[in-house]
Amino acid sequence: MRKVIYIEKDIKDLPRTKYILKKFKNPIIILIDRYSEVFNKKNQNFRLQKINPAIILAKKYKNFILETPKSYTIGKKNNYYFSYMYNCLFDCRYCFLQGMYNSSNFVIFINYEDFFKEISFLKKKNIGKNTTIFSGYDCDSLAYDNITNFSNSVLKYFENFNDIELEIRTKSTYLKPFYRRSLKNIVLAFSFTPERFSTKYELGVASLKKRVDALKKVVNFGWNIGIRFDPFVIYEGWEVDYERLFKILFSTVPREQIHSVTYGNIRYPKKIFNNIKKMYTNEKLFLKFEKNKKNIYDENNGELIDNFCKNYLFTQIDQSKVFCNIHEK
Amino acid sequence: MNKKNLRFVVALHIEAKSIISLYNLKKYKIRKKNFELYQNLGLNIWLVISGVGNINASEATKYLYQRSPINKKNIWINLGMAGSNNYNLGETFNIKKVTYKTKSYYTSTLVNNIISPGEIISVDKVEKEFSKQNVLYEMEAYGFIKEVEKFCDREQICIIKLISDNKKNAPTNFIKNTKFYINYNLENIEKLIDAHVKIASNINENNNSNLYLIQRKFNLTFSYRIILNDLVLNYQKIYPKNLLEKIIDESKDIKELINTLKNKIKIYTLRV
Ligand code: SF4
Repeated sequence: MRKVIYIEKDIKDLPRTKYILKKFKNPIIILIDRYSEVFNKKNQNFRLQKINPAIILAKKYKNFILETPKSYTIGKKNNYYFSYMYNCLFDCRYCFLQGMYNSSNFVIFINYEDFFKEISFLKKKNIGKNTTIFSGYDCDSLAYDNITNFSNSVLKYFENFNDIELEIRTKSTYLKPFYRRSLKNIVLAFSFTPERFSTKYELGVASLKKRVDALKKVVNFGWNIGIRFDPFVIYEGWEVDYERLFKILFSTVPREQIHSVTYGNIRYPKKIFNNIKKMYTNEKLFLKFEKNKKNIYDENNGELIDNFCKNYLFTQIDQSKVFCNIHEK
Repeated sequence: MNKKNLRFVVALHIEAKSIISLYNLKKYKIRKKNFELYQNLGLNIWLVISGVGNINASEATKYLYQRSPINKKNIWINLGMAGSNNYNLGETFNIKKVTYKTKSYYTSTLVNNIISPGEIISVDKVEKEFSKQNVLYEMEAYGFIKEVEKFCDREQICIIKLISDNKKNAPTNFIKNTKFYINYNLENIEKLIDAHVKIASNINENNNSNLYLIQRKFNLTFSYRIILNDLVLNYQKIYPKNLLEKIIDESKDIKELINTLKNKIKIYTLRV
């Protein structure tokens, strides 16, 4: 299918715009003033757009990096995130993006360097040493990397930010740019759910075998690895599946290369939850979700997950590397 | 018969004629009418003749929305003739962007290899200059899309325009040519419309809750209706209808029924 690509007029002639356009055969180009006029409108159907998402090439002007919620950390005191892209190639049934945005079209902010410039201010402010920057909050950082070439720019810049830590989170197997000498301040973080669940609920994500093979390759290049069980999901037979998954992963990544392991339940703010619920009227995944005191919707399974993870993970790696994203009821 | 769920807004009868015969639409007879309507109830297709201009197009769109059945899968289509600087007479376009003065509007991103994508500049007076190349000039798309955006998702909005005149050719023989161009391209137009219908078939129908089963036995206050509707919707995702009927039968009052339903849902574990 031909791709529809919206381009902000101001960036239509920039080299990166041209580079991305070259990746598509005979695209349909529509010039726009600002990405928001296409992306933010209410009358859009996220699910229908997901069938063949359009691309919106845009420039970001402000808010390049933002603070994460207070408790969100993998060990450092200051935590920020940035999103050079909105939306994702994959289609996870639980993905919160579908409740957050009206559109599933991909917005790509092509001025990557402006993100890095903002990050370099942190270094100047002298808080770099105690800072983690998370990439992959509003997208999967690498799922579209063969089109955006984002990771190449990241590698170039982060070589100079050696005291600022960057987490690149992904479910992608496209890791080619990382088949090179590793950088100590970059953590490649991989999110996993058991294969049985993933096949049904994480459409477009490669099989566990393919993902583990890709993981092995970056491990061999010495990269720091983050393992993410976020979300951690409960279903019939989850214990056996998770034990198997844990065994596979912890036998793939040597202890000294595991930077951190995080886990958490599926949870949503009210508005996002209601939007997602409306999209899937027959879905059983959210059946037992209830509002908790903090106005967050989740299943009452935090303790179960926490106990299970602690029991297993603490026997495998140092407690200081394990982070729980389940919040007090 | 598979429903197509189409809503056409067309300025002139001559532009609508081929569509009327393609879908076997019949004139809809109402005593007081603002706009001429046609329909095929079996296919759920409706068409309104709006008259020329953005104000008429907007009013007719609103009128058709109020008169025809609301369906989540409805595709709203504006079909008609347009002028251009450089496009050839009879060329057909699947419009992706409509600009009126400084505002722009967007239709679905659905494209095919048969009808070229195009952009419209919508104007209030007949355009003769055609100052810009590679765009179409016409007088209804803005009125249509501005109105239709209020109740329809972008993916279900389709604008198809055919070139009736350009810088070199004034719109002479408008009736004869319009009839010819639309008829000539009708198969392609139908294919594009069918592609929209296919996409819309992915839209979730709302699940109807079996709340009425409860209402046969209990009188429900407004707040109980809301609580129970939600519970029943969740319950019926996992258990068959006859079990719900049994629980209702066995419940002495509404509180007991609510508790039973809640417990049944609580003990369910997701199967993958
Ligand atoms: S990979 Fe992440 S961002 Fe992409 S759909 Fe899944 S949950 Fe959403």
